[in-house]
Amino acid sequence: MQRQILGFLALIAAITTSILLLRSGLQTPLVASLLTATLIVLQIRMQEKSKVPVNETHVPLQVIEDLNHRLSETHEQLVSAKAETLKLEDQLKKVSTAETEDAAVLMFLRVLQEKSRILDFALTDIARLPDPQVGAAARVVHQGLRSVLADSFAIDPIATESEGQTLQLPEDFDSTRYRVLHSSAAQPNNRGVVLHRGWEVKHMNLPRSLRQPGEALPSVLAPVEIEAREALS
Amino acid sequence: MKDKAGLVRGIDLGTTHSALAYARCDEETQELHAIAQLDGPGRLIDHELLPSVGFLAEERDASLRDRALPWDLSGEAPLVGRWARALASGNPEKAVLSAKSWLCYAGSHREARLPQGASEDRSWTAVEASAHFLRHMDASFRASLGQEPVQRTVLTVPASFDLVARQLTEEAARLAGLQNVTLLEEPLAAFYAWLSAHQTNWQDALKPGDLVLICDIGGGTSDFSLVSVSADQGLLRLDRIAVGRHLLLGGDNMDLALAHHCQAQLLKTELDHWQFLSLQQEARRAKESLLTSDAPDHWPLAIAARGSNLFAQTLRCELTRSTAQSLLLEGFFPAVELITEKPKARSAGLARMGLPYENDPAITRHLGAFLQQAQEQVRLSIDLQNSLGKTWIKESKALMPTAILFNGGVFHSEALRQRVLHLLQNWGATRLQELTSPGYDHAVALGAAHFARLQMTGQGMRVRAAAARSYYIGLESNEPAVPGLRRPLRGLCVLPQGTEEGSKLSLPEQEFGLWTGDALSFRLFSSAQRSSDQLGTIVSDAEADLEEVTELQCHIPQGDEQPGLLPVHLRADLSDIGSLHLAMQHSLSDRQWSLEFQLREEAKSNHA
Repeated sequence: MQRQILGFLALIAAITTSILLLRSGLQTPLVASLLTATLIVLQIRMQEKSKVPVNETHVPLQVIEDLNHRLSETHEQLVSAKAETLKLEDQLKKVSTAETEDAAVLMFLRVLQEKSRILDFALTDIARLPDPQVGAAARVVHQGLRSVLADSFAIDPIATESEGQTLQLPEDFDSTRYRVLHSSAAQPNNRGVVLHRGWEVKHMNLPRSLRQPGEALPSVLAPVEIEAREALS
Repeated sequence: MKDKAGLVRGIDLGTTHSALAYARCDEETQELHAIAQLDGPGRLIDHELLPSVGFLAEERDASLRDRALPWDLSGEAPLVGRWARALASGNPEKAVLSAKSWLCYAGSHREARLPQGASEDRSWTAVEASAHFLRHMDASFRASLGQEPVQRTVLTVPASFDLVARQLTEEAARLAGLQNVTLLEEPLAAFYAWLSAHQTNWQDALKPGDLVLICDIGGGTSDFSLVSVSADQGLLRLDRIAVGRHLLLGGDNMDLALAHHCQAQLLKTELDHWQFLSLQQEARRAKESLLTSDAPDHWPLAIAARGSNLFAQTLRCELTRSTAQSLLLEGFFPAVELITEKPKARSAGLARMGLPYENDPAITRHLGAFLQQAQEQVRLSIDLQNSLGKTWIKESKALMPTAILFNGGVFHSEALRQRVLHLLQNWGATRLQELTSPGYDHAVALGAAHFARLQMTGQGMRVRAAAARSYYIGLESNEPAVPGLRRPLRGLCVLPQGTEEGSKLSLPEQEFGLWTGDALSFRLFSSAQRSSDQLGTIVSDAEADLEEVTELQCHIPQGDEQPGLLPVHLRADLSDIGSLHLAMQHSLSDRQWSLEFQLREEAKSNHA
C-alpha cells in the first residue's frame, strides 16, 4: 500500500518538476529526465526497505507499550512527589516563619529588659512592697519604656479631639479605629464623648537580626552578669 | 557646567555622636541617613545618630556571630555605636571615648592609644578610631543606597581645630577609604543649614553690615565663629572673619555637673561606674526638662542597680528646678561683665594624664574673651574694618554681633538661649536677632551635605572662609649667646590670617641654608589675634606672643643633592579644603621638599 502511494507521488513529482522547469524557461529536458530518474531510484530503494519481514515489528510495539506504561507510572510518582515536596516546603515555611516571629518577639523582649528592666519589674511580687519602692522602680521602667518606644515607633493619638470633647463620627466610620460604647441597638448613635483618644503607629523602626532560619532561638533575655572581684564573705 | 549627577554626603564626626546627611545634586533638600548599627547581640537598629564610641570586644564580650553586620558577616569589623556604648558602661577599660578630643590635643598626645594604657593590639589611636566611625557610616550608607556613586563627602571639624588636627581628620578619612573629601568648619556647617532652610528669603533677615555669631555647643566642645555680611559690587558677600579658641567644654560637662550634684545627695551609697553613667543620662533628661519655661519644680531621678531586685536596690534622688538653674545657668552661663572677667587660667602643677578639659566652665566668659579677641583682630586689619563698615565701633571693647545662630543639643533649652541673648545685649549688642536653627542636633550634618552639593553644582551662597589664624615658623636669632640671657625665638609669618583657600604663597626674599642629609626640625606657631601680620612679618618673641602648634620636619636625602648648604626659601600652599602644606623650595631649581608635621600617624589600621 505504502509502495503504491510512493510510486504515484514520485510520478506526479517528476511530471510537475518537468512542467515547472519548462515553464521557467529552462529548456533542459535533460534535467527533468534526470530528476525523474532520481525519484524512480528513490522509489525502488523505498520498496527494498519495506521488504523487511512484517512480523518482526511486533516486538518493538510491545516495548513501546511497556515503556508507555512505565512512563505513566513514573509520571504518577512524580506528581505525588511534587505534591509531597510542596507540602513539606509549606510546612517548613510555616515553621521558619513562626520561628522567625518567635525570634523577633524574644529579641524585642530582650530590648525591653535591657532598657527598661521590665522583667525585673514584672516578675517580682510587689504585694508587700511599700509604694515609694514601687514608685522608684516604676520610674526606671517608665523612662526605659519611653526610650524603647521612641527608638522603634512613632505613635500618635487617633482622635484629634481631646478626652471629654464631643466627637461626631461619619455613618461609615472605620470600626477598627473607632468604637462606640453604650450605643443603643435600636438607634445606633455616631456621636459621643471621647473617653480615650486611641493610639496608632505611624512609623516603625524595629530592631532586626541577621539570624538564619534554623539557628537557635535567642532565648537569653538577660545574661548573668558577674563582676570580676572576690565576693565579700 | 559642573557635574550635576549623583550623591553627596555631609558627615558630622562628633565627640559623642556622629551623623550623616546626604543630598542629590539635582535636588534642593538634604536628608539624614539612619545609620544601621548594632544595638545588642545580633540586633541591628537604624538610628540617625551613631554614638562615637568604640569597644575593643573580645569573643568573651560579644561573639563574632552576634557582631555580624549586614555588610560584614564575619563579625570582625570594629564594634562602634550603640552596643559599643552599652558594653563600655560595664567595661570602661576597653572603651574608646572622646577620640575627637585627642585629635586636637597639642603635643605628642595626639597619637595616644585609646583606651589609655592598653597594649597596642588592644587599642586604637584617635585617628584609627575616627576612621572606624567613618568606615562604619560609609558602609551603612552604601548598604542602604546601593551602588550609586558618591561624588563628594564633606567632613566637619570644629572651627578651632588646628592644622594638625585637620590633617589627622583627613588621614582618618583616607584610612576609612573615603574619596573626594572636603573639610568644613562645624559652625559654618550649621550656618549653611540655616541658609539652606531659608534659600529664598535669607536676604530678608541678613543685610550688609550684619554680623552673625554662631554659638555651637556640642557634647564635648564649644565653638564660636563670626560671619560678616557685606556688599561687594552689588552682590552680598559672606565672610567668616573670626573663630574661637579650642574649648574642651560642652553639654556633657553640664550633665556631669548635675550627676555629681545628685551623687552628693546619695551620701551613704557608692555608685558603680554603670550607675554613675545612668545617673548622667538621667541628669541629661532632667536638664532638658528643668530648663524649659514650664519646668516642674522637682525632677525625681531613679537609678537602678545592676541586680534584678529593682525594688530594693533602686536609688532615688531629686533635682529641683532652682538647683538645676543655678548649677547650669550660673555655673556655665553666668552673667559676667565683659571687660573685667577673663577665663580662669589653667592651674599650675601636675595634672592627671588625660584630656586638658577647660579649667573655667563658664562658657559666657569664653564667649566674652572671644568677642574681645575679634575686636582686637578687626582693630589691626583695615580689610576687616572695611568689610564690617558701621558694625565695627572703634571705641567698643568687644565686637558685637547683630544676629546669633545657636547650634548644639543644649540649646533645646530656651533658658540657655535667653541667657546668652540677654548677656550679649547687656554687653552692648543693641540690635540682635536670633536666627532660628533648622535643628540643634542635626544642622551640622545637613549643612555639610548642603555645602557638598554647593561644591558640586557651584550654585548657592558661599561663605568665604579664609585662614582664621596666622602661622609662623620659629627661627633661631643670630645674636651671640650670652650666659643667663634667653635668646628669643623669632617667628616668621608663613601664612597670614585672611589668606584665601587655594592660595599659594612664597617667600623668596627669606633665604635659608639647609644642610643635606640632616633631619631639620622647625617649630610651628600660630595666632588668632595678629590679623595685621603679612607674609614674611617677623614676630620678635614667638614663645611669648604666639601659641605653639607642633614641630615640623624636613629631610633632604643625601644622594639627592651635592653635600653642603642648599639655598632654599619657604613656600606655603593653603589647599581648597583648608589644609596647609609647607615646603622648602630650592632657590635655584624647581625642586622642593615638604615640611611634615612631626606627629605622623602610622598609616595602618586594625581592620584593613
